[in-house]
Amino acid sequence: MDVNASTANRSTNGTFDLLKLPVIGNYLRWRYSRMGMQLVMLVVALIMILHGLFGPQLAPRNLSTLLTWVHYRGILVLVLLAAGNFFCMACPFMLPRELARRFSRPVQNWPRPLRNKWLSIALFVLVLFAYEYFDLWGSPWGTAWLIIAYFAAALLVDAFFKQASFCKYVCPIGQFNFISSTVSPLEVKVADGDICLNCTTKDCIKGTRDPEDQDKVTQRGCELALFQPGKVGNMDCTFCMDCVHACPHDNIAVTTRLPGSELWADTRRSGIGYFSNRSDISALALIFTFGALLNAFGMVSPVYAFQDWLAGVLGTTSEAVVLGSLFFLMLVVEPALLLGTAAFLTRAWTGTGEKLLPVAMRYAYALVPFGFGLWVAHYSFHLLTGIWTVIPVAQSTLAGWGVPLPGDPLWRLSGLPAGLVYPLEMGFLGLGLLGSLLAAYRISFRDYKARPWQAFIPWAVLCVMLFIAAVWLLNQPMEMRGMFLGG
Amino acid sequence: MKTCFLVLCLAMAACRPSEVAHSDVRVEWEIAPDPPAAGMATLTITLTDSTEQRLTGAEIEVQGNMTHPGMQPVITTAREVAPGLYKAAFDFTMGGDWFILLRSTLTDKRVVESTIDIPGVRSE
Repeated sequence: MDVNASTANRSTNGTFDLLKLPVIGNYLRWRYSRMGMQLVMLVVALIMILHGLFGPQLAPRNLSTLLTWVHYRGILVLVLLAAGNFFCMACPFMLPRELARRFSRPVQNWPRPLRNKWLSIALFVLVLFAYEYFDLWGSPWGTAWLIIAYFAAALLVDAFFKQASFCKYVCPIGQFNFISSTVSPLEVKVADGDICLNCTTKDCIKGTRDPEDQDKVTQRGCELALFQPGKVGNMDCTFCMDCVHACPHDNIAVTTRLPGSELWADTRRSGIGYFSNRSDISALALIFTFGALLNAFGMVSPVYAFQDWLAGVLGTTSEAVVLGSLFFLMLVVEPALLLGTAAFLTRAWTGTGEKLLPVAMRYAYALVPFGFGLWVAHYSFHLLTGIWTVIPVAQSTLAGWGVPLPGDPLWRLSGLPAGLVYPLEMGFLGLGLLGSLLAAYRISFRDYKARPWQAFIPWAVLCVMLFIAAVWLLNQPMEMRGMFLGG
Repeated sequence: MKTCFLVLCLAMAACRPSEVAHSDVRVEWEIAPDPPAAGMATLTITLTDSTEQRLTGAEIEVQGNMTHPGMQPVITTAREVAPGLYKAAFDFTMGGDWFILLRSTLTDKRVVESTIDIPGVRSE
C-alpha cells in the first residue's frame, strides 16, 4: 500500500481530539495513565477473585458474579458504544505480564499459522459455552476461576511470545472489544498525515530508542503491529496509547468518526490487511452477531422447550450434547443458511457469477452493528435493572471482613424498573438495525456499482429478519436458570 | 465434568460455616403451587425445636433472590397463622432459578437463617 498517499488525506486538524481536552486529555497523555487504570481494575479483580473463592456462594450476594456478569459487561458495552475500547486500555490482565517482562523478555514470535483470529474465535465460543453449561452467572467460584484463568493465560502467552500476542491472537474478550469498537465513535489515528510523510524514525511502531543506546527502547511502539499512518479503524487497537507516547511529533489523536464507517472501508489496514480477504475476521463478525442471539436466547423461556425437543430428536439426555448441538445450529448452521441464501440472491440478481463465500465474507461485516445493538440491549438491561445491587453486596462484604458500617445492607436496592429499560433496549436494537442497513447499503454501492439495489435487498431483508428475531427474543418471558433438561 | 464442577462448588460452600447455626431448630417449608410458576405463591414455614415442639412468636423475614445476580429481590415477612405455623405470600416476579433466605428471630432473640432452593420456576 502507498502509505504516504493514504496518510496525506487523513488529517484530523480542526476536528475533535480527546487528547486536547483539559483533564481527560492531560490524563491520557500521561505516560502512566494506562497503568493507573489497570491498577484500579487489578484491585477490583483481586477483590472479585477473593470474594468468589472465599465469599458466600450465592451469586447475587457475591462480588465476583455480580460485578462480572452485571456491572462489568454492562459498563463495557456502554463505554464501547459511547466512546471506544477503553476497557482493553484498562485491562488488568496485562499487569502481571508487564511485571514478568521486567525480569525476562520473551524471545519467541507468535507461530505463523496462528497469526489470525481462529484460535481466539474458538476460545470466544468456548467461553460462551462454559457460561451456559456451567451456569457461570450463578457460580462465584467458577467466575473467580475464570478470572484467574485469564490472568494465567495472559501471563503464560506473553511470557513466551513477543509483542501483544495474547491480545491480538488469543484473548476472547479482546476480540469482542475489537469487533465492537468498529462501531465506536472514537478512534486512535494520525492527526496530520503530512507530518508522517517526513517521519523517518517511525516510533509509533518501532518504539522510541534511547539516543545513547539504540538497543534500549524507552517507549515501546504499537505491540499489535498497527503502523499509525496505515492504520484504519479500531480493529486490533487496544487504546493503549503507546503510539501517543511514542510519536516524537505529537501527531496522534483520539478523534471522532462516523461509527461503523470502517465496516465498509475496504482499504488495506496496517497489521490486518484487507477486511474482504480476512475470512477469520469475517467469521469473528458472524460469531459475534449470532452469538448475541444465542446468548439472549439462553435466558428466555422457549430455549428450554427447544432443548427438550432437541434432546428428543437426538435421543440423548446429555446436556453437553444438546447444548453443543444448539451452539452448532445457531453459530454454524443458521449463519451458513442465512448468509448463503442472501449471497446466492445477490449473485443471482447482480449476475456476477462470483463464488458465494467471498460475497458472504464481505457482507458479514454489515451484521456487526446489529449484533452489537443486541449485546448492548441485553447487557444494559442487566446493568440498568440491577445497578444498585452492588451497594448492599459491598456493605455485606465489608461487614463480613470486619469493617464497621452503620445499619444493615440495603437489600431492597436494585435499579431501574424493567419497563423503563425496555424502550432503551428497543432503541439500541433499532440503532443496530440502522447501522447494519447502512453498512450493507454502502458495501452494495461499493462492490456492485451496476446493480447496487439488487445486491442490497437480500442483505436488508436478512438484517430485518434478525432484528425481528431479536425483538421477539427480548419480548419473551425471562427464565434465567440452569439449562438442565426436562427441568 | 459438570458434576465435578458442582461438587467442587458445593465443597467450597460447605467449608464455610453458616452465619448463625442452631442445630436444635428445624425449619420446614412447603410452597404452593408446587412446582411454582411466575406469580403469587404461598410459602408455609414450620419452626420446631429438638423436642418436636413448634416454636411460636418468631419473626420471619423472607428474602427471595434469583440465582442470576443483579435481579430485584422480593422481600416480605411471614405471618403466624397458627401456633408455630407461618405463611408468607411470595411473588415470583419472573421464571428461573430462585433461592429464598429465611431469617427467623425467635422469642429468645436467637436468629436462625436458612436457605431454600427453588429451581426452575416456570414463566407461566
